[in-house]
Amino acid sequence: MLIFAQQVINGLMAGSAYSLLGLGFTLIFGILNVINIAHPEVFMVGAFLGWMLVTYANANLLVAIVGATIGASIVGVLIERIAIRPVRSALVLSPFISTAGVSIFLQQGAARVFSPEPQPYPPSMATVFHDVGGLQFSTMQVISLAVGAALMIGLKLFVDRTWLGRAIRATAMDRETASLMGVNVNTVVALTLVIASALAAVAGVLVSVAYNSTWAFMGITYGLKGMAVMVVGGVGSLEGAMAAGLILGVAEALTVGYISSSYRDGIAFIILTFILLLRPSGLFGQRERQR
Amino acid sequence: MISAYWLEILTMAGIMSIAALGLYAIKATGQLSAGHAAFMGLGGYASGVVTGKLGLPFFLSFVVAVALVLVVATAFAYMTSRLRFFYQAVGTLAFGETLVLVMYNVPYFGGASGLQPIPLQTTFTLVYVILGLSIYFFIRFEHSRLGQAFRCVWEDDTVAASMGIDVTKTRILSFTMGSAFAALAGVLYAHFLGIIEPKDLDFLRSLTLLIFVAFGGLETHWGALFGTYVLTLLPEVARFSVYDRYTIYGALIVVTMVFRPKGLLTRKPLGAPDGPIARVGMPLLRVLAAVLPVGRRAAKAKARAERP
Amino acid sequence: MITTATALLQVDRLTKRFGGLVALDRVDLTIWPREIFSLIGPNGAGKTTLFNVVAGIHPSDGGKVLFRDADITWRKAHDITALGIARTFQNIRLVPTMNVLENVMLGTYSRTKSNLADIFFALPRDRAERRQARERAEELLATFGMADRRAFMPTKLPYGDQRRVEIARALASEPALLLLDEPSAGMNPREMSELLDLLLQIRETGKTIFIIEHNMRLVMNISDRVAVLNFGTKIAEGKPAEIQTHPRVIEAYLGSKRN
Ligand SMILES: Nc1ncnc2c1ncn2[C@@H]1O[C@H](COP(=O)(O)OP(=O)(O)O)[C@@H](O)[C@H]1O
Ligand SMILES: [Mg+2]
Repeated sequence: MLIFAQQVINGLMAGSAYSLLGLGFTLIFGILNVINIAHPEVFMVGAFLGWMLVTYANANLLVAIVGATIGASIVGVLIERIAIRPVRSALVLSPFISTAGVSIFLQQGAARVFSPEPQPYPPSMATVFHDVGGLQFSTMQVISLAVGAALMIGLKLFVDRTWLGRAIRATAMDRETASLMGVNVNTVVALTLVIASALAAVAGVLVSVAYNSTWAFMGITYGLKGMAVMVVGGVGSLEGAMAAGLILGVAEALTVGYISSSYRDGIAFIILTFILLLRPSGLFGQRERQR
Repeated sequence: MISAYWLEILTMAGIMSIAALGLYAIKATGQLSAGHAAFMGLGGYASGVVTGKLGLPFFLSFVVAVALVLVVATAFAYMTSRLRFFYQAVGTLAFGETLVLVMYNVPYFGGASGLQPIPLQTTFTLVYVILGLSIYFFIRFEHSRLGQAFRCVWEDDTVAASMGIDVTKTRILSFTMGSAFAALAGVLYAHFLGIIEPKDLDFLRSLTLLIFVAFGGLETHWGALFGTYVLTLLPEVARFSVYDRYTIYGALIVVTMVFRPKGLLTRKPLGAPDGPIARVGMPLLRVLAAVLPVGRRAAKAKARAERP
Repeated sequence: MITTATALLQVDRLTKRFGGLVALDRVDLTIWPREIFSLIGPNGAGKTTLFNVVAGIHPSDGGKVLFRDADITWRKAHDITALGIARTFQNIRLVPTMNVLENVMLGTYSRTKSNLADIFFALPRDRAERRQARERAEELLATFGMADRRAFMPTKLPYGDQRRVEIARALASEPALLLLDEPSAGMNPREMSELLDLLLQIRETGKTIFIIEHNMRLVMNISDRVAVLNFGTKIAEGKPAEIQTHPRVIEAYLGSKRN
């Protein structure tokens, strides 16, 4: 029982990062109809920005997160301008490949600048473990979970309750109609990328602090899982991405706890395979629109 | 003569070209496989078992690998025939990553350290004979009845159905056929390196193949070849440190996609002008023209003149 | 009208719904061999939908389609083409990455059989089929006066030419019944009169033409019979002259103009 509770706690913490990445994928896909392969690299860039602020400017965690968010948002918007907008109308494959190019560029660029080895944080950021009734958890895990939950609730409220949120939903539903109804689609696109990139950057900083490792290639596994989360949750569904990320995190942790850690990275794809075969619209998705 | 180093690189480029041709065959009906390397690796593992584990002759490993991949790919294509575009990409990705997981965890296949030793039987000559036959196949295929049907399915499946083309069957055929080329490449790959590892099957490898095809040109098999050779040889000749090389590589792909979303080479329809200038020179010039300030100005002027 | 022959196409109480919209409401039609049958009606009447159901693109929601007395209601679109029904599209749908010749050759797909082995080994079947397909396509283009435009990409051609390529592509599948969806849309008067000659010429080769058309002059000149569709219902059917003076037809057209 103790193992179970412990693994659920570990799982929720990792899962909130998957959710944040999955939300970004789903938001971008909803608005642009494009898989942004470079999105996980925004997560990586965010992690490095946070790491630099802590390492070189002695910033605390809050400053690191805010700085990473701002920097990553700019990167995210730039990616859309440079590599997505010009090829969006061409073929399904073209934006996929151009963002893959961005992804390679950023990974290799980061490896060039920061060395291909994972970078540790200074000792001041060392995680402190608490023990409550046999359950081990670190301050960072608590912070991650709290921040992740706050962001998700905030995003949900923003999209449901605010005028801008409605503009996003209208654009996701039908770009042309939204623009006829007076929505400035370009603003919505930029806003979406800012939100998606901010979520990714926060996840990037939290993950890299929690595992004390900031790495040029950290986007790869997280990115694949974020993509899986988007589909499992149902493309375009925010609640779906949130739930699927947490479910995935817990499923992975339980696999590690009860089966073997070597199956951990595959769980996402096994779940994904079943979803695609049985319910391609995802857990929370509506049926695919007819065209 | 060419050095052993270059012989090795050219052999590897040849093997990758065969896989890329297969990916082109899948793309030819407008499908998207983000798990092509997994089919290649499946062929590699199957052949490695035949020769390395069972000690059977090399040619048998081709038969077994291709037959296995044909069965798996047909079953997979059939089960996922409802999935289109993005969903198909994710489906193939999930297949590939699941296969990676299997290879990692089944001790018989060597786990994380890969299946080895596999006899080193792949030679430069063998690779280029098979590549030559594959190219011959695609040349014949391009203007054939089925080749044209593939293209029509890609462009407009309603029109295809109205032409009497069974769209579902054609898509399955295209996926299976492409995967069979991947299997061939996988056999050659495993017997060239003497080992096949789980990471040879993963999404990054599949993405690399997709990049080769998209970069070289989506409309013709020559694009797949051209892309593979340019992108495998370029990093070898570029005299930069490894990370600079791949940073430039990434940027080059972005620039190419932005200015030529269908890739560098375009297709030659029946009866249109042909030759290296039309096929390679013009597209390259157009990309250069789009990137360089002089060309951009000219293109803008042309666009202005063409406006009604 | 040849009353002893069996009907080529029978549409029997055909119904099609899109959500709550009834696009076709129990439509009956009979088309006899070698006739030119026109379907007219205001925009949105359901004409294209009728073609789509007949051709197997959309499933029927009731009623039947019989072709040469065989029930084809539930046949797949590609089987229906193979049986001998070919069509063109209202919004021209040529394959943009294929030139004119290749587009027309595409039409021969259902009349050819070569498989991967024939193609790879250049077996006689494939070579003969490809040669015949090309000859057939060139011949069709020649009859359409377009032999010199065979290497053009379709998007570079004027509208009228594109429509003719689509008709040639449909004919390349050697159909008994040709479905033409507004072939004269976007044509100038000269192209229109050429189209008229072309249709008569096609009929001479023994084919049956089922045409959706807006241009009344064309309809009145070539049709053996005309049917009128309004809001998914057939409101009239008869000889061109009868239709012209039919009160419900006049009402439908004037009514639709007023809206
Ligand atoms: N695929 C479809 N989905 C939903 N509604 C459709 C579809 N196709 C046609 N309709 C509707 O059915 C009606 C008839 O359309 P159509 O057959 O194209 O008319 P026509 O060809 O006579 O102008 C229209 O109201 C149209 O909006
Ligand atoms: Mg219509």
